[in-house]
Amino acid sequence: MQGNGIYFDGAAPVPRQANLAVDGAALSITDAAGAIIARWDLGDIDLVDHRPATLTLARRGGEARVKVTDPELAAGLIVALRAGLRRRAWGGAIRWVGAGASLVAALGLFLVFAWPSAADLLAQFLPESWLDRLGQVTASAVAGQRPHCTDPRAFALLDGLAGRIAEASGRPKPEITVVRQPVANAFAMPANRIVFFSGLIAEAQHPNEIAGVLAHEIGHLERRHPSRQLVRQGGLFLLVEMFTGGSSLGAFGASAVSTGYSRAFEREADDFARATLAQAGLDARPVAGFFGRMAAKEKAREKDSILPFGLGGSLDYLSTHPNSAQRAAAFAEAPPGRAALTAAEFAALKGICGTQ
Amino acid sequence: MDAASAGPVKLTGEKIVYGGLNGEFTGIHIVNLLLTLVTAGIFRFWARTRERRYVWGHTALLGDWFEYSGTGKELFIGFLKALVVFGALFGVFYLGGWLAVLFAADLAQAQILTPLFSLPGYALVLYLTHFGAFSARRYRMSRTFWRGIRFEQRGSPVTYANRAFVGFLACVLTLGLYFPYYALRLRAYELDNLHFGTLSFHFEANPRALWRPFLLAWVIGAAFVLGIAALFGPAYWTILQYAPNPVPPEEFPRVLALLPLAVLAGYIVLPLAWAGFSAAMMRHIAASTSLGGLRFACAATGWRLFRLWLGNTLIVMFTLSLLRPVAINRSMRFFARHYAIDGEVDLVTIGAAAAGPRSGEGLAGYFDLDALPG
Ligand SMILES: [Zn+2]
Repeated sequence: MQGNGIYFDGAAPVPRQANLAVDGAALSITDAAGAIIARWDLGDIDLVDHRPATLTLARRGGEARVKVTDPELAAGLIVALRAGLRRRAWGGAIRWVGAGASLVAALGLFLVFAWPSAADLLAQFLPESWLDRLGQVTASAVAGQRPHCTDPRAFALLDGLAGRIAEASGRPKPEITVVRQPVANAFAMPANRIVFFSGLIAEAQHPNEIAGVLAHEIGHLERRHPSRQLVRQGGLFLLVEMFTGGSSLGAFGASAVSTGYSRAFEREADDFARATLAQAGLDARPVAGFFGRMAAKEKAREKDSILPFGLGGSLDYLSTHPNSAQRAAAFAEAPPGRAALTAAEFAALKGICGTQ
Repeated sequence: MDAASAGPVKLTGEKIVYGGLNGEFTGIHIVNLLLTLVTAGIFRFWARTRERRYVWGHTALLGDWFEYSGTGKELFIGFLKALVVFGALFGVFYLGGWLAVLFAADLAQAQILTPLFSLPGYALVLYLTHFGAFSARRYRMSRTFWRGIRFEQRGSPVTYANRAFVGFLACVLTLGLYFPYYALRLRAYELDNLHFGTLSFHFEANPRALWRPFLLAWVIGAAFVLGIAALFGPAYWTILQYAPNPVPPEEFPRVLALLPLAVLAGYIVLPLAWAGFSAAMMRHIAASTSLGGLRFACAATGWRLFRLWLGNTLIVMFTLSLLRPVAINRSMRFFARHYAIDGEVDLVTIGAAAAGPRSGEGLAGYFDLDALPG
């Protein structure tokens, strides 16, 4: 096998006419006078470029290049080199890609299966002062710049109700904040805090609906859901940021508690709420009505939205607590009991944000 | 008989030739996407290498193709190195910010302390982005061959990042008016330190030549931004009132229904204004660059650059980057069509360059900066 080609010596970008010949297991390159320029072992040759008519070759690791311009020689050489080239081109890649992909897969498995329990364990060892500060930070982030509702009589009623429910479950009374925000929702925060949006009090048609939400949020506190969620998401966030090179320090403050808990967490909080209301002798059945109304309202809102892409959707109770029909049914089957507040007290509670 | 070595080569309006084919390149890209998917993203370093091999290998000067000799393994190792360095730095600032929150005497103090960690964190990211971009250039150039001779990007990533950082601050302080100086100073550092073998590029620019096109773009941009601010300012204020919670639908500002329209207008007006300046800058940079006795010229115009950009954006957007190679091919053909080389060079006087860094890209691979257009 032999033919014409061009040789670049790697020392200057100057083409030299060359005669190429395959003899034995080597490619020998000679100049027009027949003097030998170089001899490359076929096993040492890398393919730089492969076109129908021409083939460019390199000696592995070196900078000299041979351009095979003779089509027949090019075709013959590519057959002779193919097996070795393919093995080298993919052999190294497969090892490295395989190692990298296994590492990522292991990390993924860890995150899905081991991280939640590891984070729960970690959350148990967080000092009380840290939890308290995390509670402050997330509470202030969720409340934003909105004013607080502090009508003394109404606040005392809500605070007292929270105290009664907490006592029935053997827990210390949570610290309650009511934020003027026409969205119906409430959040449990680390270190025994609950933030109420005033919209939830405005939506309520029965005092036990508020008692139910209080008991549910106290249930989250009892199971330490807020701090567990913070550690779980904080760890994930750190990892994602590290791997993507993002840098939104602290951006996740409020998102951890407001993105909603897992279904398991919600079920735990609901079970706790029903048991605690029963313990306190309060009727849990009106809570079912609350869920029903919220579902209907959300549906109507979706239909009426004038904005594209779901803009204007809101973070109210349903968005953080889905599956309301099922949850409503469980509350509807609760045993009868007393009302949490008298009609007069309930009316007073409604004025918690003053007259506006 | 060795015609080329007999004397200097004379070029008159010599064009770069690009011969990449849409179908062939897309085939490579689809395989890349699939392998990247099934390897949880790890294959992307090899994918990028295959992509570059294709683009470099289909770009020719004087009948000889360029060559990309980098490997996926080099990029992967560079990424791992960056991950260690950056991960450590990031961890310090991230955890530092949290510890400041946790150990501050009260919330007010925490609000003062956290920026002490987050601001240097942002500055560091900005600095490392440029540091990484220059390191990546060094790697890429050292893996770019033509006729067996490699390119070499000399200069220090630290100097480059310093310039970029200071220039960025100057841009912010002058409301962007410093930008032409900033951009040309960076190009000057890149090009003045670029070598083909032992032959050095030279760059001598005059930022004043770019004032007029830049001011035009700046005025159009500023007018657009002010108009948008006037239109949507009140709505933004309402949203801010509720932040971080969404605005209830009853109070949702209706003017936001115009937002998609404004975004669309922004996609036309701003790039069009910018393309005029960009093309002027491309022409100026080419005219200010020389390599030995060779001079460069660029004939790009703002309108053509805008059409290239718009086409590429639509192609990438509507095919979810499935047809990214088509966009790259369009950019490369644009490059080939609009640049020309004139002058004389004696190739025999050019020697081989140093081998360059051993692993690749590092921080640039980390931040996903890529040299490929489109
Ligand atoms: Zn809940």
